[in-house]
Amino acid sequence: MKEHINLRDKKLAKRKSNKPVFSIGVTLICLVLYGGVFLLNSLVRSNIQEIEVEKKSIEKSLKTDEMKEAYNFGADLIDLNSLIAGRSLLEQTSNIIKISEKTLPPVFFDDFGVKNEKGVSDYKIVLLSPDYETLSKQINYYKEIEGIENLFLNETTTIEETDAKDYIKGTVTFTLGLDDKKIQEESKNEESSEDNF
Amino acid sequence: MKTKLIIFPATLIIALLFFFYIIKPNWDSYSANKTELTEKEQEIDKLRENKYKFDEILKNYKEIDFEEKKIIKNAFPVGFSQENFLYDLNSIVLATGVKLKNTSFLEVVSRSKEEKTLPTIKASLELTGNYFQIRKALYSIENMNRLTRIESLGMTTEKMDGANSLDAKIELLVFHKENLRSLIPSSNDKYFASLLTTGLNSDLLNNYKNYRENATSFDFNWDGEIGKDDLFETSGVSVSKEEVLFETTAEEIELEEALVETIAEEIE
Repeated sequence: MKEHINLRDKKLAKRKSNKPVFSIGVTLICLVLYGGVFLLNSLVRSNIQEIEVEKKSIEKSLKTDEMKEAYNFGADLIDLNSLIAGRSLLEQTSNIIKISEKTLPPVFFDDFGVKNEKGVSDYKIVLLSPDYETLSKQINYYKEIEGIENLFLNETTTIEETDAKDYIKGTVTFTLGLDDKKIQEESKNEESSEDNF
Repeated sequence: MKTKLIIFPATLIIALLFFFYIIKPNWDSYSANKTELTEKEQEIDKLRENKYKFDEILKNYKEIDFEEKKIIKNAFPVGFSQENFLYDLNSIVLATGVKLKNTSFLEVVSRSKEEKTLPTIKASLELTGNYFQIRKALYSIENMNRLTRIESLGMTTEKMDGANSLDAKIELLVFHKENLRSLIPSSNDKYFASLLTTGLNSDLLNNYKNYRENATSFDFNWDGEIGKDDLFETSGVSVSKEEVLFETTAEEIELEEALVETIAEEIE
């Protein structure tokens, strides 16, 4: 019995002698783990810092005066093209010439008004014509204007002049705008600008 | 003996505490940094690519002719520069002989989709002069170096000292940019995103040049037999033109009669 007890004591003693080793082992593992993680973290942080430095350098190079100038030039081109899409520079002058080309010499204007919206011009013209025949011819000729739509004679009045011949005053409205191809181009541009932005 | 017994569990407890309070947070921090590094790497790759593209844009910009750059710069000046606008307007007045009766300027707050990002001023002008002077002034205003757009135009006759004079009211939109834009390397910036996709598109420059060049070849005259140069002219019908004018076919006569009938019905 005593021998048996002694045996147990020996095992216990062995175990007891191993405990400091385990403790040192555990401590070493902890330290190695910590060191490893610390090193990895330092490496990653240093990489991040390197990237940040490069990022700042690139951003700085993008903010130079000449780069800003080039960027503004490009931005202006984008804005200009969206504003001129489907339009012509001399929109109103050329429309007036179109109207002049189809105006009969005996007819003259008393009042001329145009409002432009999205490339379509709405006209309201007060004409003075020597008679109804000329007025009807005039309307017929206006129908020949390229791109004219919604031509309508709103009203006529006879202007009686004491010392001269009477006049027929007629108010004509119509729209002159972009041709179909241009309208399609414009809507296409608007769609693509929506997609891009 | 007792101390020896405590060392092992104590070491374990300390190790666990060390693990949970020091190693674990460090590991978490490492994981977060690793994720951040991956994101930063992607970001820097994109930025390097953008830098390359913008270097190309800069190279292309430097190759553009000075005069071409000036056309674009003039079209979109920085700020409304009212003094320059008035100077240009005065030049038009002097060149055409019209009289500038009135001007007013109004800042357009919100406009359509295409114009909403651009600062716009609505300028209202009141001019007097004969028809040809007004028409020439209109041409010059539309042909200004800076980008303008006539929004409305009204012309009415005005009798002045027995001579026929016109009173013209013009409302035009004058576009400009607030200030030089700063390059923002972000896909949220519409210009940046667009320039990255298309680069400095020479087609856009050519489009605008063509848009302007069409004006230089503009002709006020026409070859047609009918037509009237001064739309407000009350007299002076040439016989030859009148003869050509009233040469109508049977079909036209029918159409005209129908029109006259319609008008007569409307009058009734």
